[in-house]
Amino acid sequence: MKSVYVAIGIAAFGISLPCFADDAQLPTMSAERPVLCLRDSADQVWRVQCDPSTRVCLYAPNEELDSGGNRVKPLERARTCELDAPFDRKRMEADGYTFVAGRVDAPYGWMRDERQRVFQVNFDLKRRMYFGVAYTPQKFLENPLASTRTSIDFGLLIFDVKSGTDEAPTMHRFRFFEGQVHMAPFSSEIVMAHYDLSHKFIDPLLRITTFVGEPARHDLGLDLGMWNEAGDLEIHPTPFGYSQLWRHATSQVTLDLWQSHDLDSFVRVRTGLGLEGQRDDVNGYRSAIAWSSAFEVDTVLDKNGFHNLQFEFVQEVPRYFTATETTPLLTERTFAHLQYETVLLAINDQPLTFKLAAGGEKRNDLPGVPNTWAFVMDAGLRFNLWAPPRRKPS
Amino acid sequence: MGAATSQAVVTATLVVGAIVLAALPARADAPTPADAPTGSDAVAPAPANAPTGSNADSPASADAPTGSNADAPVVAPTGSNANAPAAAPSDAPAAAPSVAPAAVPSGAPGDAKLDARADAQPRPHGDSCTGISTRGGRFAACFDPGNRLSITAAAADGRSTSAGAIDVGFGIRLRHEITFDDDPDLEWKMSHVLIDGAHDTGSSSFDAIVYSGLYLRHSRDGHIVIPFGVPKKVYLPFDVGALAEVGRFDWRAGSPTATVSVVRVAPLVDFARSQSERAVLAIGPAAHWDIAWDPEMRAVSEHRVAPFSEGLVDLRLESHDGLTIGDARVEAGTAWHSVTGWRPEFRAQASLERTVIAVDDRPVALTLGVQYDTVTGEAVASLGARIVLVTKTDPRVNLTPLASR
Repeated sequence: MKSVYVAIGIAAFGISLPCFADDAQLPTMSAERPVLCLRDSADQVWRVQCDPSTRVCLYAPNEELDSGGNRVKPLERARTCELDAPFDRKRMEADGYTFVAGRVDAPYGWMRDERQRVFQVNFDLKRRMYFGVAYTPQKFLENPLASTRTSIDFGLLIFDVKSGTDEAPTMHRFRFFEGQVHMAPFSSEIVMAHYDLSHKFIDPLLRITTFVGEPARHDLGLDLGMWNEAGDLEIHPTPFGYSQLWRHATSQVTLDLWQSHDLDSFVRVRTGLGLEGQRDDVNGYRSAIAWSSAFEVDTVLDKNGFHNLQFEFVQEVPRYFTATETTPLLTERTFAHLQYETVLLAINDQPLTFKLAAGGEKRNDLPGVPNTWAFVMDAGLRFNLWAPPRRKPS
Repeated sequence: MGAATSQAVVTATLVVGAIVLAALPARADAPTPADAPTGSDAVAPAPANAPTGSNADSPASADAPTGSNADAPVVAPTGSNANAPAAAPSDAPAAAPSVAPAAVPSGAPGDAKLDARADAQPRPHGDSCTGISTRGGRFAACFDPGNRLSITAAAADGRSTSAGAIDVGFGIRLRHEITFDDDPDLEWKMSHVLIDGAHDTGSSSFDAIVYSGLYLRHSRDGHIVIPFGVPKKVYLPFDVGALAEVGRFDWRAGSPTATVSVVRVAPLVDFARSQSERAVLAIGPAAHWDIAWDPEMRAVSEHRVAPFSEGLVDLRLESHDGLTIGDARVEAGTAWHSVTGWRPEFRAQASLERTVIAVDDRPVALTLGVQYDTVTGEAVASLGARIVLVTKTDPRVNLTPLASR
């Protein structure tokens, strides 16, 4: 397996090396100003955009070029250009305009190279399908020389839907069949369906007026939302075989402590109840009602969506209906997970990302597993499909 | 694998290969109706001098030379071109727009691109896919095998089942394309299989899959973008996509365990680059998580995980009229078994389907299939019939009665 990762690394860095060779950049037309399509004496169509403030006119061919500079195909993702407009170049030059070669503008999230070829440079990793592989060294605190292992992760459909107004938006976040599988020793976690909702409230839930000194108003905003998951399955190795934890359904109330303007990023706490069942080879199957709470950070660090950071601290307290010899009625699980993901490159506008993650857990619900912190790290690559450009800021 | 089974598999494979070889070339040699598309489903090459938006409708522009220096500009632009990269047109300043350009035909670039794409695609040709009986009634001669609900009955050899048992199957297939107005060269080809399975009537054996999806992003312009520093675009000669499967079950009578394939995913590169979904040649690394379930102990006996340590080749060919379909998939590599460690795995399957009759314009096809899996150590060959109960009428078919045409 190591050879696979070495090959991936060599390929990735080998491909990226030539990219620094050519930094020549032509100025880009503005997507906000009108553009003219004009035909020259050789019957070629050019796009021309003039800026009265700088007295510069950018011009670019109305077609993509090959490496030899020949026009080969129509422009992709080009907007309509204004036709039949009067254009007196001599007069404009006499007025001080200069004509400079440039690049045709591209839609938000896209750009063109000097050959007018368009490509995506902004990625929304909250709308995608992904799967990846990671190298996962693991060590238990009591056994620093524990095994290394490999993992795969996947999310078959991740998307969010924004509704409401710009002032009071609502973000609906969906995730279907997302999870990860670790090997040697084996463990896995899969969530069949996830839905959570954030809303930005215009009107505060409470407004407090103080009359000490000058009367003043203090708004207490509570951006409440909801968080739901169904069909969560965890499989863990124990000294007595595999333990399967089914979180059938969990529903929580969320309170956003901070929200970005577009609701792509947030800091929140959530709490609620869930119905779960655990099966192991020692105790068989037993059900529980679990109270769970979490502190969660999910943020996109840059406007192009290249850098994404997530942190989650979760505490779960399942109360089993029956006690067993190995576990009490009331057990406790604590998880912490930190993940950073960045876009490395894009293949046909489908991004390949690098993930670096660290996590830990402490639990006493698994028979034979010591109730102590265990830590794990992940570093791997993810191949992403879809990942359109992020929503254009309003 | 018994000798009889091996013989059946080899025979079936040869038959599948012979039918594929016989059926597919026949399509190319078949006489083309005057109104039938000549491009079929092949990717239309980009016209070298394709007119762009503004001059798409201009006869004068149709043969316009590209990058020509023939006509010197009336007035050269004053802007310096010293910083222009090598890839920029050498005659760019010279060919810059001249004073008072000639009248330019109206039309948006987007419209022109759509027009160009329409020319590249098969044009409507209902008559070639619509038969007319001697009484003047119309019937479908082309079918859309990607959108249907069907049942299958097949005789299989190789399973540990009673002789003469029949596999009864059921399946739903859906496929569609996602296109974009602002980029007509881009298309997502989506194929879905839902609740597809077969049950051996002679035993309790069955295999089924809850969902399988093949998503291919077809673009005439394949490339890699390196986002570091100044983003850079590097050309690639393939499309990209993915295969995703969720919930595959396989239980064989007499076997101590059933296999539950929880998830199987593979990023793919498609070298067929077909604009339609009729041709796929996709290759990529595959990851999967399978569980061996012991029904007697009601416990998992083994986990099998391949962390993209297997290679997958997926080949699909479909005739233009949808009457003949062939597909094959091969997976090979190593997977980690929780009990026995890393082990090589190999799976292969191929199938051929040929529609022979249609009842009320719903096709009935003969099917032939072979498959082999090293994990179960069993090869299976099957021969049967598939009856389509519900299907989407191929858009090329016109079933409107002649009288009301």
